[in-house]
Amino acid sequence: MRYLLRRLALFVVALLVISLVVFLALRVLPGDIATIMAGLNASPERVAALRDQLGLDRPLSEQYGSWIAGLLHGDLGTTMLTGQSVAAVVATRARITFPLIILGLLVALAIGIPLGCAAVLARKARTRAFFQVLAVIGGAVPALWGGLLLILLFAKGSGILPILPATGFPRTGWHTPGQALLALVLPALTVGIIVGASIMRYTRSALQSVASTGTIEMAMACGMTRTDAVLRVGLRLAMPQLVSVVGLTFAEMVTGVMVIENLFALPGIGSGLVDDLGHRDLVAVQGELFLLAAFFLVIGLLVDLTHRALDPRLGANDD
Amino acid sequence: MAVVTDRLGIAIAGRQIVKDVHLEIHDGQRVGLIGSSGSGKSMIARAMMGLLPPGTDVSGTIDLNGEQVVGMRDADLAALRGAAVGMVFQNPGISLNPLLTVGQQIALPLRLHYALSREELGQRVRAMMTRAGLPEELIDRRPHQLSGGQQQRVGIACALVASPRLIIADEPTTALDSLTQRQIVDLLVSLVDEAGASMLFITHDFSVLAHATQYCYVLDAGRIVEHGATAALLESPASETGERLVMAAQQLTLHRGKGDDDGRA
Ligand SMILES: Nc1ncnc2c1ncn2[C@@H]1O[C@H](COP(=O)(O)OP(=O)(O)OP(=O)(O)O)[C@@H](O)[C@H]1O
Ligand SMILES: [Mg+2]
Repeated sequence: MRYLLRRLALFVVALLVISLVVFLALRVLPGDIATIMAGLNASPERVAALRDQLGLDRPLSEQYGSWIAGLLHGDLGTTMLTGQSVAAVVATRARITFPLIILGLLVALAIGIPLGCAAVLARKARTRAFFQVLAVIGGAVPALWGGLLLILLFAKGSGILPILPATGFPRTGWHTPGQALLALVLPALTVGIIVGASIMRYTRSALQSVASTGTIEMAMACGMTRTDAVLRVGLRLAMPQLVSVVGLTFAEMVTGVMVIENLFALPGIGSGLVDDLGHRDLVAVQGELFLLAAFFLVIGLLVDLTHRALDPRLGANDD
Repeated sequence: MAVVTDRLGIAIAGRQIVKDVHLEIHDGQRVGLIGSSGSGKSMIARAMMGLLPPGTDVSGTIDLNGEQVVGMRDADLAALRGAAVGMVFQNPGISLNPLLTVGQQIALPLRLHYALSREELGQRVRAMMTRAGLPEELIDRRPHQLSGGQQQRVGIACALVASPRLIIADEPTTALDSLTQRQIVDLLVSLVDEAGASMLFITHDFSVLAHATQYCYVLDAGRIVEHGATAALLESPASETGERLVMAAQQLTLHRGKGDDDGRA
Protein backbone atom coordinates (compact mmCIF):
# COMPACT_ATOMS: atom_id res chain seq x y z
CA MET A 1 0.00 0.00 0.00
CA ARG A 2 2.78 2.42 0.88
CA TYR A 3 4.46 1.47 -2.35
CA LEU A 4 1.30 2.26 -4.29
CA LEU A 5 1.01 5.71 -2.73
CA ARG A 6 4.67 6.43 -3.30
CA ARG A 7 4.42 5.32 -6.92
CA LEU A 8 1.29 7.45 -7.49
CA ALA A 9 2.96 10.50 -5.96
CA LEU A 10 5.91 9.94 -8.28
CA PHE A 11 3.50 9.76 -11.20
CA VAL A 12 1.89 13.09 -10.31
CA VAL A 13 5.26 14.80 -9.86
CA ALA A 14 6.47 13.43 -13.21
CA LEU A 15 3.28 14.68 -14.85
CA LEU A 16 3.86 18.19 -13.45
CA VAL A 17 7.48 18.21 -14.59
CA ILE A 18 6.43 17.10 -18.07
CA SER A 19 3.76 19.79 -18.28
CA LEU A 20 6.32 22.40 -17.27
CA VAL A 21 8.83 21.17 -19.83
CA VAL A 22 6.26 21.13 -22.64
CA PHE A 23 4.98 24.56 -21.66
CA LEU A 24 8.41 26.16 -21.39
CA ALA A 25 9.81 24.47 -24.49
CA LEU A 26 7.30 26.30 -26.66
CA ARG A 27 7.78 29.59 -24.78
CA VAL A 28 11.56 29.80 -24.97
CA LEU A 29 11.63 29.22 -28.71
CA PRO A 30 13.50 32.09 -30.29
CA GLY A 31 11.10 34.75 -31.58
CA ASP A 32 7.57 35.71 -30.72
CA ILE A 33 5.07 32.86 -30.64
CA ALA A 34 2.25 34.88 -32.06
CA THR A 35 4.43 35.94 -35.01
CA ILE A 36 5.48 32.35 -35.64
CA MET A 37 1.94 31.06 -35.45
CA ALA A 38 0.43 33.78 -37.59
CA GLY A 39 2.85 33.01 -40.40
CA LEU A 40 5.11 35.12 -42.60
CA ASN A 41 2.53 37.23 -44.40
CA ALA A 42 0.27 38.03 -41.47
CA SER A 43 -0.71 41.63 -40.74
CA PRO A 44 0.40 43.22 -37.45
CA GLU A 45 -3.28 43.36 -36.41
CA ARG A 46 -3.62 39.61 -36.88
CA VAL A 47 -0.48 39.03 -34.77
CA ALA A 48 -1.77 41.35 -32.04
CA ALA A 49 -5.17 39.62 -32.01
CA LEU A 50 -3.51 36.22 -31.77
CA ARG A 51 -1.24 37.39 -28.97
CA ASP A 52 -4.26 38.68 -27.10
CA GLN A 53 -6.22 35.47 -27.71
CA LEU A 54 -3.36 33.32 -26.43
CA GLY A 55 -2.82 35.56 -23.42
CA LEU A 56 0.82 36.00 -24.31
CA ASP A 57 1.05 39.41 -22.63
CA ARG A 58 0.31 37.95 -19.23
CA PRO A 59 3.17 36.76 -16.99
CA LEU A 60 4.42 33.20 -17.70
CA SER A 61 3.27 31.82 -14.36
CA GLU A 62 -0.26 33.06 -15.04
CA GLN A 63 -0.26 31.51 -18.53
CA TYR A 64 0.98 28.20 -17.13
CA GLY A 65 -1.62 28.33 -14.37
CA SER A 66 -4.51 28.81 -16.75
CA TRP A 67 -3.18 26.10 -19.09
CA ILE A 68 -3.02 23.64 -16.19
CA ALA A 69 -6.47 24.69 -14.97
CA GLY A 70 -7.74 23.98 -18.48
CA LEU A 71 -5.97 20.61 -18.56
CA LEU A 72 -7.66 19.61 -15.34
CA HIS A 73 -11.02 20.19 -17.02
CA GLY A 74 -9.97 18.37 -20.15
CA ASP A 75 -9.64 21.64 -22.02
CA LEU A 76 -6.52 21.73 -24.21
CA GLY A 77 -7.44 24.93 -26.03
CA THR A 78 -8.67 25.28 -29.61
CA THR A 79 -6.90 24.62 -32.87
CA MET A 80 -5.89 27.63 -34.87
CA LEU A 81 -7.02 26.34 -38.24
CA THR A 82 -10.54 25.10 -37.58
CA GLY A 83 -11.30 26.43 -34.12
CA GLN A 84 -12.25 22.94 -32.94
CA SER A 85 -11.26 21.92 -29.43
CA VAL A 86 -7.85 20.25 -29.40
CA ALA A 87 -9.19 17.55 -27.11
CA ALA A 88 -11.88 16.60 -29.64
CA VAL A 89 -9.37 16.52 -32.50
CA VAL A 90 -6.98 14.33 -30.51
CA ALA A 91 -9.84 12.02 -29.53
CA THR A 92 -10.75 11.53 -33.21
CA ARG A 93 -7.15 10.77 -34.15
CA ALA A 94 -6.76 8.43 -31.18
CA ARG A 95 -9.44 6.22 -32.70
CA ILE A 96 -6.86 5.24 -35.28
CA THR A 97 -3.68 5.40 -33.27
CA PHE A 98 -4.80 3.35 -30.26
CA PRO A 99 -6.22 0.43 -32.19
CA LEU A 100 -3.04 0.51 -34.28
CA ILE A 101 -0.86 0.39 -31.15
CA ILE A 102 -2.91 -2.45 -29.68
CA LEU A 103 -2.91 -4.47 -32.91
CA GLY A 104 0.81 -3.86 -33.33
CA LEU A 105 1.43 -5.01 -29.77
CA LEU A 106 -0.63 -8.16 -30.32
CA VAL A 107 1.35 -8.96 -33.47
CA ALA A 108 4.60 -8.26 -31.63
CA LEU A 109 3.68 -10.51 -28.71
CA ALA A 110 2.38 -13.25 -31.00
CA ILE A 111 5.69 -13.20 -32.88
CA GLY A 112 8.16 -12.37 -30.15
CA ILE A 113 7.19 -14.67 -27.28
CA PRO A 114 6.91 -17.97 -29.18
CA LEU A 115 10.09 -17.27 -31.14
CA GLY A 116 11.92 -16.28 -27.95
CA CYS A 117 10.85 -19.56 -26.32
CA ALA A 118 11.80 -21.53 -29.42
CA ALA A 119 15.23 -19.91 -29.41
CA VAL A 120 15.81 -21.13 -25.85
CA LEU A 121 14.40 -24.60 -26.48
CA ALA A 122 16.33 -25.21 -29.69
CA ARG A 123 18.66 -28.16 -29.27
CA LYS A 124 20.91 -27.74 -32.27
CA ALA A 125 23.48 -24.96 -32.24
CA ARG A 126 22.56 -24.24 -35.86
CA THR A 127 18.89 -23.69 -34.99
CA ARG A 128 19.84 -21.34 -32.18
CA ALA A 129 22.07 -19.37 -34.58
CA PHE A 130 19.16 -19.11 -37.02
CA PHE A 131 16.93 -17.52 -34.35
CA GLN A 132 19.75 -15.15 -33.44
CA VAL A 133 20.04 -13.97 -37.05
CA LEU A 134 16.27 -13.58 -37.26
CA ALA A 135 16.22 -11.36 -34.17
CA VAL A 136 19.12 -9.22 -35.37
CA ILE A 137 17.56 -8.66 -38.79
CA GLY A 138 14.11 -7.92 -37.34
CA GLY A 139 15.59 -5.47 -34.85
CA ALA A 140 17.72 -3.65 -37.41
CA VAL A 141 14.94 -2.88 -39.90
CA PRO A 142 13.70 0.73 -39.69
CA ALA A 143 9.91 1.10 -39.60
CA LEU A 144 9.85 3.09 -42.83
CA TRP A 145 11.81 0.45 -44.75
CA GLY A 146 9.79 -2.42 -43.35
CA GLY A 147 6.55 -0.64 -44.19
CA LEU A 148 7.68 0.01 -47.75
CA LEU A 149 8.64 -3.64 -48.14
CA LEU A 150 5.22 -4.81 -46.95
CA ILE A 151 3.56 -2.33 -49.30
CA LEU A 152 5.59 -3.71 -52.20
CA LEU A 153 4.60 -7.23 -51.23
CA PHE A 154 0.96 -6.98 -50.25
CA ALA A 155 -0.56 -3.58 -50.96
CA LYS A 156 -3.54 -3.27 -53.27
CA GLY A 157 -2.54 -1.43 -56.39
CA SER A 158 1.21 -1.78 -56.02
CA GLY A 159 1.94 -5.10 -54.35
CA ILE A 160 3.15 -8.41 -55.75
CA LEU A 161 0.33 -10.16 -53.89
CA PRO A 162 -2.21 -7.32 -53.71
CA ILE A 163 -4.53 -8.32 -50.90
CA LEU A 164 -4.53 -5.47 -48.41
CA PRO A 165 -5.27 -1.76 -48.57
CA ALA A 166 -2.35 0.54 -47.82
CA THR A 167 -3.67 4.03 -48.28
CA GLY A 168 -5.66 5.91 -45.70
CA PHE A 169 -8.54 5.02 -43.49
CA PRO A 170 -12.13 4.52 -44.67
CA ARG A 171 -14.13 7.75 -44.54
CA THR A 172 -16.81 5.89 -42.65
CA GLY A 173 -14.30 5.10 -39.89
CA TRP A 174 -15.26 2.48 -37.32
CA HIS A 175 -18.88 2.47 -38.56
CA THR A 176 -17.55 -0.04 -41.07
CA PRO A 177 -15.39 -2.07 -38.71
CA GLY A 178 -14.30 -4.62 -41.29
CA GLN A 179 -12.86 -2.02 -43.63
CA ALA A 180 -11.36 -0.05 -40.77
CA LEU A 181 -9.62 -3.12 -39.40
CA LEU A 182 -8.37 -4.12 -42.84
CA ALA A 183 -6.82 -0.69 -43.31
CA LEU A 184 -4.79 -1.24 -40.14
CA VAL A 185 -3.48 -4.72 -40.97
CA LEU A 186 -0.37 -3.78 -42.97
CA PRO A 187 0.61 -0.91 -40.66
CA ALA A 188 0.13 -3.12 -37.59
CA LEU A 189 2.18 -5.90 -39.19
CA THR A 190 4.98 -3.45 -39.91
CA VAL A 191 5.35 -2.18 -36.35
CA GLY A 192 4.47 -5.58 -34.92
CA ILE A 193 7.28 -7.39 -36.74
CA ILE A 194 9.85 -4.80 -35.76
CA VAL A 195 8.82 -4.60 -32.11
CA GLY A 196 8.32 -8.40 -32.14
CA ALA A 197 12.01 -8.83 -32.90
CA SER A 198 12.86 -6.85 -29.77
CA ILE A 199 10.38 -8.81 -27.69
CA MET A 200 11.88 -12.03 -29.00
CA ARG A 201 15.37 -10.97 -27.94
CA TYR A 202 14.15 -9.89 -24.51
CA THR A 203 12.09 -13.06 -24.03
CA ARG A 204 15.11 -15.14 -24.90
CA SER A 205 17.42 -13.38 -22.48
CA ALA A 206 14.78 -13.24 -19.73
CA LEU A 207 14.21 -17.00 -20.05
CA GLN A 208 17.92 -17.64 -20.07
CA SER A 209 18.48 -15.60 -16.95
CA VAL A 210 15.66 -17.53 -15.25
CA ALA A 211 17.15 -20.83 -16.42
CA SER A 212 20.56 -19.92 -15.03
CA THR A 213 19.15 -19.72 -11.50
CA GLY A 214 18.46 -23.45 -11.45
CA THR A 215 14.70 -23.20 -11.02
CA ILE A 216 14.03 -24.76 -14.41
CA GLU A 217 16.51 -27.53 -13.64
CA MET A 218 14.76 -28.16 -10.33
CA ALA A 219 11.37 -28.36 -12.06
CA MET A 220 12.90 -30.87 -14.47
CA ALA A 221 14.33 -32.85 -11.56
CA CYS A 222 10.80 -33.05 -10.15
CA GLY A 223 9.61 -34.64 -13.39
CA MET A 224 9.01 -32.03 -16.08
CA THR A 225 10.42 -32.23 -19.59
CA ARG A 226 12.68 -29.35 -20.60
CA THR A 227 9.95 -27.92 -22.84
CA ASP A 228 7.41 -28.09 -20.04
CA ALA A 229 9.76 -26.53 -17.53
CA VAL A 230 10.67 -23.64 -19.83
CA LEU A 231 7.09 -22.94 -20.88
CA ARG A 232 5.32 -23.51 -17.56
CA VAL A 233 7.91 -22.42 -15.01
CA GLY A 234 10.34 -20.29 -17.01
CA LEU A 235 7.77 -18.12 -18.76
CA ARG A 236 5.86 -17.49 -15.55
CA LEU A 237 9.05 -16.56 -13.73
CA ALA A 238 10.10 -14.31 -16.59
CA MET A 239 6.68 -12.63 -16.65
CA PRO A 240 7.63 -9.61 -14.50
CA GLN A 241 10.62 -9.00 -16.74
CA LEU A 242 8.47 -9.43 -19.84
CA VAL A 243 5.95 -6.88 -18.58
CA SER A 244 8.79 -4.42 -18.13
CA VAL A 245 9.99 -5.27 -21.60
CA VAL A 246 6.62 -4.52 -23.13
CA GLY A 247 6.78 -1.18 -21.31
CA LEU A 248 10.25 -0.56 -22.70
CA THR A 249 9.28 -1.48 -26.24
CA PHE A 250 6.28 0.84 -25.97
CA ALA A 251 8.45 3.81 -26.82
CA GLU A 252 9.73 1.91 -29.86
CA MET A 253 6.13 0.99 -30.67
CA VAL A 254 4.81 4.56 -30.52
CA THR A 255 7.69 6.01 -32.55
CA GLY A 256 7.10 3.26 -35.09
CA VAL A 257 3.39 4.07 -35.20
CA MET A 258 4.12 7.79 -35.79
CA VAL A 259 6.27 6.97 -38.83
CA ILE A 260 3.89 4.31 -40.09
CA GLU A 261 0.83 6.58 -39.90
CA ASN A 262 2.54 9.01 -42.22
CA LEU A 263 3.65 6.25 -44.59
CA PHE A 264 0.17 4.71 -44.80
CA ALA A 265 -1.64 8.08 -44.81
CA LEU A 266 -3.59 7.25 -41.66
CA PRO A 267 -5.01 10.37 -39.96
CA GLY A 268 -3.86 9.40 -36.46
CA ILE A 269 -2.05 11.21 -33.66
CA GLY A 270 1.37 10.80 -35.27
CA SER A 271 0.51 12.17 -38.68
CA GLY A 272 -1.69 14.78 -36.97
CA LEU A 273 1.23 16.00 -34.91
CA VAL A 274 3.28 16.42 -38.08
CA ASP A 275 0.39 18.32 -39.72
CA ASP A 276 -0.03 20.62 -36.73
CA LEU A 277 3.68 21.36 -36.66
CA GLY A 278 3.47 22.18 -40.35
CA HIS A 279 0.63 24.60 -39.66
CA ARG A 280 2.60 26.06 -36.74
CA ASP A 281 -0.44 25.37 -34.53
CA LEU A 282 1.49 25.55 -31.28
CA VAL A 283 -1.57 25.33 -29.04
CA ALA A 284 -2.48 21.99 -30.54
CA VAL A 285 1.14 20.80 -30.54
CA GLN A 286 1.51 21.74 -26.89
CA GLY A 287 -1.60 19.77 -25.94
CA GLU A 288 -0.64 16.77 -28.06
CA LEU A 289 2.91 16.59 -26.74
CA PHE A 290 1.60 16.71 -23.21
CA LEU A 291 -0.94 13.94 -23.83
CA LEU A 292 1.69 11.78 -25.49
CA ALA A 293 4.07 12.18 -22.55
CA ALA A 294 1.24 11.56 -20.08
CA PHE A 295 0.40 8.38 -21.99
CA PHE A 296 3.97 7.11 -21.57
CA LEU A 297 3.83 7.92 -17.87
CA VAL A 298 0.58 5.97 -17.46
CA ILE A 299 2.10 2.98 -19.25
CA GLY A 300 5.15 3.19 -16.99
CA LEU A 301 2.89 3.29 -13.94
CA LEU A 302 0.88 0.27 -15.10
CA VAL A 303 4.03 -1.67 -15.92
CA ASP A 304 5.54 -1.02 -12.50
CA LEU A 305 2.35 -1.98 -10.66
CA THR A 306 1.88 -5.16 -12.71
CA HIS A 307 5.53 -6.09 -12.32
CA ARG A 308 5.14 -5.85 -8.59
CA ALA A 309 1.87 -7.74 -8.46
CA LEU A 310 3.46 -10.62 -10.40
CA ASP A 311 6.44 -11.05 -8.10
CA PRO A 312 5.60 -12.03 -4.53
CA ARG A 313 9.19 -11.42 -3.45
CA LEU A 314 8.72 -7.70 -3.98
CA GLY A 315 6.55 -5.90 -1.51
CA ALA A 316 6.46 -8.75 0.98
CA ASN A 317 8.75 -6.96 3.37
CA ASP A 318 8.32 -3.24 2.88
CA ASP A 319 4.56 -2.84 2.92
CA MET B 1 18.34 -48.88 -7.03
CA ALA B 2 21.49 -50.16 -8.66
CA VAL B 3 23.37 -47.84 -10.97
CA VAL B 4 26.21 -48.75 -13.27
CA THR B 5 27.92 -46.30 -15.59
CA ASP B 6 30.36 -47.74 -18.06
CA ARG B 7 32.83 -45.96 -20.33
CA LEU B 8 30.86 -42.81 -19.63
CA GLY B 9 32.12 -39.81 -21.58
CA ILE B 10 30.68 -36.29 -21.60
CA ALA B 11 31.71 -33.57 -24.02
CA ILE B 12 30.49 -29.98 -24.26
CA ALA B 13 31.24 -27.95 -27.38
CA GLY B 14 33.87 -30.45 -28.49
CA ARG B 15 35.71 -30.43 -25.15
CA GLN B 16 35.83 -33.82 -23.44
CA ILE B 17 34.96 -33.14 -19.78
CA VAL B 18 34.32 -36.65 -18.47
CA LYS B 19 36.27 -39.64 -19.80
CA ASP B 20 35.81 -43.38 -19.47
CA VAL B 21 34.06 -43.33 -16.11
CA HIS B 22 33.06 -46.66 -14.60
CA LEU B 23 31.04 -46.21 -11.42
CA GLU B 24 28.75 -48.55 -9.52
CA ILE B 25 26.17 -47.89 -6.86
CA HIS B 26 24.60 -50.99 -5.34
CA ASP B 27 21.06 -51.26 -4.09
CA GLY B 28 20.75 -49.35 -0.81
CA GLN B 29 24.35 -48.15 -0.92
CA ARG B 30 25.50 -44.60 -0.25
CA VAL B 31 28.36 -43.69 -2.56
CA GLY B 32 30.51 -40.57 -2.49
CA LEU B 33 32.04 -38.75 -5.44
CA ILE B 34 34.91 -36.40 -4.69
CA GLY B 35 37.36 -34.47 -6.80
CA SER B 36 38.69 -30.97 -7.20
CA SER B 37 36.52 -28.19 -8.54
CA GLY B 38 35.86 -28.52 -12.26
CA SER B 39 36.75 -32.22 -12.38
CA GLY B 40 33.29 -33.08 -13.73
CA LYS B 41 31.36 -34.33 -10.69
CA SER B 42 28.22 -32.32 -11.38
CA MET B 43 28.31 -33.38 -15.03
CA ILE B 44 28.19 -37.06 -14.03
CA ALA B 45 25.32 -36.39 -11.62
CA ARG B 46 23.38 -34.46 -14.28
CA ALA B 47 23.99 -37.17 -16.85
CA MET B 48 22.26 -39.69 -14.58
CA MET B 49 19.19 -37.41 -14.43
CA GLY B 50 19.21 -36.42 -18.09
CA LEU B 51 19.76 -32.85 -16.95
CA LEU B 52 22.76 -31.96 -19.07
CA PRO B 53 22.43 -28.72 -21.04
CA PRO B 54 21.32 -29.07 -24.70
CA GLY B 55 24.27 -29.62 -26.98
CA THR B 56 26.13 -31.98 -24.64
CA ASP B 57 27.50 -35.22 -26.12
CA VAL B 58 27.23 -38.26 -23.90
CA SER B 59 28.86 -41.58 -24.80
CA GLY B 60 28.99 -44.91 -22.99
CA THR B 61 26.20 -46.26 -20.83
CA ILE B 62 24.31 -45.33 -17.68
CA ASP B 63 22.25 -48.22 -16.44
CA LEU B 64 19.53 -47.50 -13.85
CA ASN B 65 18.06 -50.82 -12.72
CA GLY B 66 18.28 -52.17 -16.25
CA GLU B 67 17.12 -48.99 -18.01
CA GLN B 68 19.54 -47.29 -20.35
CA VAL B 69 19.56 -43.55 -19.66
CA VAL B 70 22.01 -42.41 -22.34
CA GLY B 71 20.09 -41.49 -25.46
CA MET B 72 16.70 -41.75 -23.78
CA ARG B 73 14.02 -39.31 -24.96
CA ASP B 74 13.39 -36.34 -22.66
CA ALA B 75 9.78 -37.43 -22.05
CA ASP B 76 10.96 -40.84 -20.79
CA LEU B 77 13.66 -39.24 -18.68
CA ALA B 78 11.06 -36.89 -17.20
CA ALA B 79 9.03 -39.93 -16.18
CA LEU B 80 12.04 -41.17 -14.21
CA ARG B 81 13.02 -37.82 -12.70
CA GLY B 82 11.36 -37.16 -9.38
CA ALA B 83 9.72 -40.60 -9.34
CA ALA B 84 12.63 -43.05 -9.64
CA VAL B 85 15.52 -40.64 -9.15
CA GLY B 86 15.46 -37.59 -6.88
CA MET B 87 17.97 -34.78 -6.86
CA VAL B 88 19.03 -32.46 -4.04
CA PHE B 89 20.66 -29.30 -5.33
CA GLN B 90 23.54 -27.29 -3.96
CA ASN B 91 21.74 -24.01 -3.57
CA PRO B 92 18.04 -24.30 -2.71
CA GLY B 93 17.81 -20.50 -2.42
CA ILE B 94 17.99 -20.20 -6.19
CA SER B 95 16.69 -23.56 -7.36
CA LEU B 96 13.37 -23.61 -5.48
CA ASN B 97 10.61 -21.89 -7.42
CA PRO B 98 10.20 -18.45 -5.76
CA LEU B 99 6.51 -18.34 -6.67
CA LEU B 100 5.45 -21.61 -5.06
CA THR B 101 4.69 -22.16 -1.40
CA VAL B 102 6.46 -24.89 0.52
CA GLY B 103 3.37 -27.10 0.17
CA GLN B 104 3.18 -26.55 -3.59
CA GLN B 105 6.91 -27.25 -4.09
CA ILE B 106 6.73 -30.53 -2.24
CA ALA B 107 3.50 -31.52 -3.99
CA LEU B 108 4.99 -30.93 -7.46
CA PRO B 109 6.69 -34.34 -8.00
CA LEU B 110 3.54 -36.11 -6.77
CA ARG B 111 1.32 -34.03 -9.05
CA LEU B 112 3.57 -34.69 -12.03
CA HIS B 113 3.70 -38.45 -11.55
CA TYR B 114 0.52 -39.55 -9.80
CA ALA B 115 -3.15 -38.67 -10.00
CA LEU B 116 -3.90 -38.17 -6.32
CA SER B 117 -6.94 -36.60 -4.71
CA ARG B 118 -6.53 -33.25 -3.00
CA GLU B 119 -6.74 -34.78 0.46
CA GLU B 120 -4.25 -37.52 -0.33
CA LEU B 121 -1.85 -34.97 -1.80
CA GLY B 122 -2.15 -32.78 1.29
CA GLN B 123 -1.61 -35.75 3.59
CA ARG B 124 1.49 -36.93 1.76
CA VAL B 125 2.95 -33.42 1.68
CA ARG B 126 2.38 -32.90 5.40
CA ALA B 127 3.81 -36.30 6.23
CA MET B 128 6.90 -35.53 4.14
CA MET B 129 7.28 -32.16 5.85
CA THR B 130 7.25 -33.83 9.23
CA ARG B 131 9.84 -36.38 8.13
CA ALA B 132 12.03 -33.56 6.78
CA GLY B 133 11.77 -31.67 10.07
CA LEU B 134 9.67 -28.84 8.67
CA PRO B 135 7.03 -27.48 11.08
CA GLU B 136 3.58 -27.56 9.53
CA GLU B 137 3.05 -23.81 9.84
CA LEU B 138 5.69 -23.31 7.13
CA ILE B 139 3.42 -24.91 4.52
CA ASP B 140 2.19 -21.60 3.07
CA ARG B 141 5.54 -19.81 3.17
CA ARG B 142 7.52 -19.07 0.04
CA PRO B 143 11.26 -19.82 -0.21
CA HIS B 144 12.36 -16.24 0.50
CA GLN B 145 10.59 -16.45 3.87
CA LEU B 146 12.67 -19.46 4.99
CA SER B 147 16.15 -19.85 6.45
CA GLY B 148 18.86 -21.55 4.38
CA GLY B 149 18.51 -24.73 6.40
CA GLN B 150 14.74 -24.76 6.03
CA GLN B 151 15.10 -24.19 2.28
CA GLN B 152 17.36 -27.21 1.99
CA ARG B 153 14.89 -29.27 4.02
CA VAL B 154 12.28 -28.31 1.41
CA GLY B 155 14.73 -29.34 -1.32
CA ILE B 156 15.21 -32.70 0.35
CA ALA B 157 11.47 -33.13 0.82
CA CYS B 158 10.94 -32.47 -2.92
CA ALA B 159 13.61 -35.01 -3.83
CA LEU B 160 12.16 -37.71 -1.57
CA VAL B 161 8.41 -37.16 -1.57
CA ALA B 162 7.66 -39.49 -4.47
CA SER B 163 9.81 -42.25 -2.91
CA PRO B 164 12.56 -42.48 -5.54
CA ARG B 165 14.99 -45.42 -5.32
CA LEU B 166 18.04 -43.27 -6.03
CA ILE B 167 18.95 -39.89 -4.54
CA ILE B 168 21.60 -37.73 -6.14
CA ALA B 169 22.88 -35.00 -3.83
CA ASP B 170 25.25 -32.49 -5.44
CA GLU B 171 27.02 -30.64 -2.63
CA PRO B 172 23.75 -30.29 -0.71
CA THR B 173 25.33 -28.56 2.27
CA THR B 174 27.82 -26.15 0.69
CA ALA B 175 25.49 -23.19 1.04
CA LEU B 176 24.90 -23.78 4.77
CA ASP B 177 26.73 -23.00 8.03
CA SER B 178 28.61 -25.88 9.65
CA LEU B 179 26.05 -26.68 12.35
CA THR B 180 23.18 -26.79 9.85
CA GLN B 181 25.36 -28.82 7.47
CA ARG B 182 25.60 -31.58 10.01
CA GLN B 183 21.84 -31.61 10.63
CA ILE B 184 21.04 -31.69 6.92
CA VAL B 185 23.46 -34.55 6.24
CA ASP B 186 22.04 -36.52 9.17
CA LEU B 187 18.54 -35.92 7.86
CA LEU B 188 19.42 -36.98 4.32
CA VAL B 189 21.22 -40.13 5.46
CA SER B 190 18.42 -41.20 7.78
CA LEU B 191 15.71 -40.56 5.17
CA VAL B 192 17.62 -42.43 2.47
CA ASP B 193 18.29 -45.41 4.75
CA GLU B 194 14.71 -45.40 6.00
CA ALA B 195 13.47 -45.61 2.42
CA GLY B 196 16.07 -48.22 1.51
CA ALA B 197 17.15 -46.06 -1.42
CA SER B 198 20.66 -45.64 -2.77
CA MET B 199 22.49 -42.33 -2.89
CA LEU B 200 25.21 -40.62 -4.86
CA PHE B 201 26.69 -37.93 -2.66
CA ILE B 202 28.98 -35.26 -4.09
CA THR B 203 30.93 -33.20 -1.60
CA HIS B 204 34.15 -31.36 -0.83
CA ASP B 205 33.79 -31.89 2.88
CA PHE B 206 35.54 -35.03 4.08
CA SER B 207 33.93 -35.17 7.48
CA VAL B 208 30.59 -35.19 5.70
CA LEU B 209 31.87 -37.81 3.29
CA ALA B 210 32.95 -40.16 6.08
CA HIS B 211 29.63 -39.70 7.75
CA ALA B 212 27.34 -39.98 4.74
CA THR B 213 28.92 -42.62 2.50
CA GLN B 214 30.18 -46.17 2.62
CA TYR B 215 32.03 -46.24 -0.64
CA CYS B 216 33.75 -43.50 -2.55
CA TYR B 217 35.12 -42.57 -5.99
CA VAL B 218 37.83 -39.98 -6.62
CA LEU B 219 37.58 -38.01 -9.85
CA ASP B 220 40.45 -36.09 -11.38
CA ALA B 221 40.09 -34.11 -14.63
CA GLY B 222 37.13 -36.22 -15.67
CA ARG B 223 38.66 -39.64 -14.88
CA ILE B 224 38.19 -41.92 -11.90
CA VAL B 225 41.63 -42.25 -10.32
CA GLU B 226 40.73 -44.23 -7.23
CA HIS B 227 37.84 -45.90 -5.46
CA GLY B 228 37.26 -47.91 -2.32
CA ALA B 229 35.55 -48.05 1.04
CA THR B 230 35.29 -44.49 2.30
CA ALA B 231 36.97 -45.01 5.67
CA ALA B 232 39.95 -46.84 4.14
CA LEU B 233 40.28 -44.36 1.33
CA LEU B 234 40.35 -41.40 3.69
CA GLU B 235 42.85 -43.22 5.92
CA SER B 236 45.35 -44.02 3.20
CA PRO B 237 44.57 -42.66 -0.26
CA ALA B 238 46.42 -44.55 -3.00
CA SER B 239 46.34 -41.95 -5.75
CA GLU B 240 48.17 -38.65 -5.81
CA THR B 241 44.89 -36.74 -6.28
CA GLY B 242 43.31 -38.62 -3.40
CA GLU B 243 46.23 -37.75 -1.17
CA ARG B 244 46.17 -34.10 -2.18
CA LEU B 245 42.43 -33.83 -1.58
CA VAL B 246 42.65 -35.52 1.82
CA MET B 247 45.52 -33.28 2.90
CA ALA B 248 43.68 -30.14 1.83
CA ALA B 249 40.51 -31.29 3.53
CA GLN B 250 42.33 -32.05 6.77
CA GLN B 251 43.85 -28.60 6.83
CA LEU B 252 40.48 -27.06 6.15
CA THR B 253 38.85 -29.09 8.92
CA LEU B 254 41.59 -28.10 11.37
CA HIS B 255 41.18 -24.44 10.51
CA ARG B 256 37.46 -24.59 10.75
CA GLY B 257 37.61 -26.53 14.03
CA LYS B 258 39.79 -23.81 15.50
CA GLY B 259 37.49 -21.09 14.19
CA ASP B 260 34.46 -22.77 15.76
CA ASP B 261 36.18 -23.06 19.13
CA ASP B 262 37.12 -19.40 19.04
CA GLY B 263 33.58 -18.53 18.21
CA ARG B 264 32.21 -20.41 21.18
CA ALA B 265 34.79 -19.18 23.71
N1 LIG C 1 27.42 -25.36 -19.63
C1 LIG C 1 28.74 -25.62 -19.74
N2 LIG C 1 29.36 -25.36 -20.92
C2 LIG C 1 30.68 -25.63 -21.06
N3 LIG C 1 31.45 -26.14 -20.10
C3 LIG C 1 30.90 -26.42 -18.92
C4 LIG C 1 29.50 -26.16 -18.66
N4 LIG C 1 29.23 -26.53 -17.41
C5 LIG C 1 30.40 -26.97 -16.88
N5 LIG C 1 31.39 -26.93 -17.78
C6 LIG C 1 32.78 -27.37 -17.57
O1 LIG C 1 32.76 -28.73 -17.24
C7 LIG C 1 33.77 -29.02 -16.30
C8 LIG C 1 33.20 -29.84 -15.17
O2 LIG C 1 32.17 -29.10 -14.52
P1 LIG C 1 31.42 -29.65 -13.24
O3 LIG C 1 30.37 -28.66 -12.92
O4 LIG C 1 31.00 -31.03 -13.47
O5 LIG C 1 32.56 -29.61 -12.14
P2 LIG C 1 32.45 -30.07 -10.63
O6 LIG C 1 33.39 -31.18 -10.46
O7 LIG C 1 31.05 -30.26 -10.25
O8 LIG C 1 33.07 -28.80 -9.90
P3 LIG C 1 32.57 -28.10 -8.53
O9 LIG C 1 33.19 -28.88 -7.45
O10 LIG C 1 33.17 -26.75 -8.63
O11 LIG C 1 31.09 -28.11 -8.52
C9 LIG C 1 34.35 -27.69 -15.85
O12 LIG C 1 35.62 -27.56 -16.42
C10 LIG C 1 33.42 -26.66 -16.41
O13 LIG C 1 34.14 -25.54 -16.81
MG1 LIG D 1 29.58 -29.22 -9.11
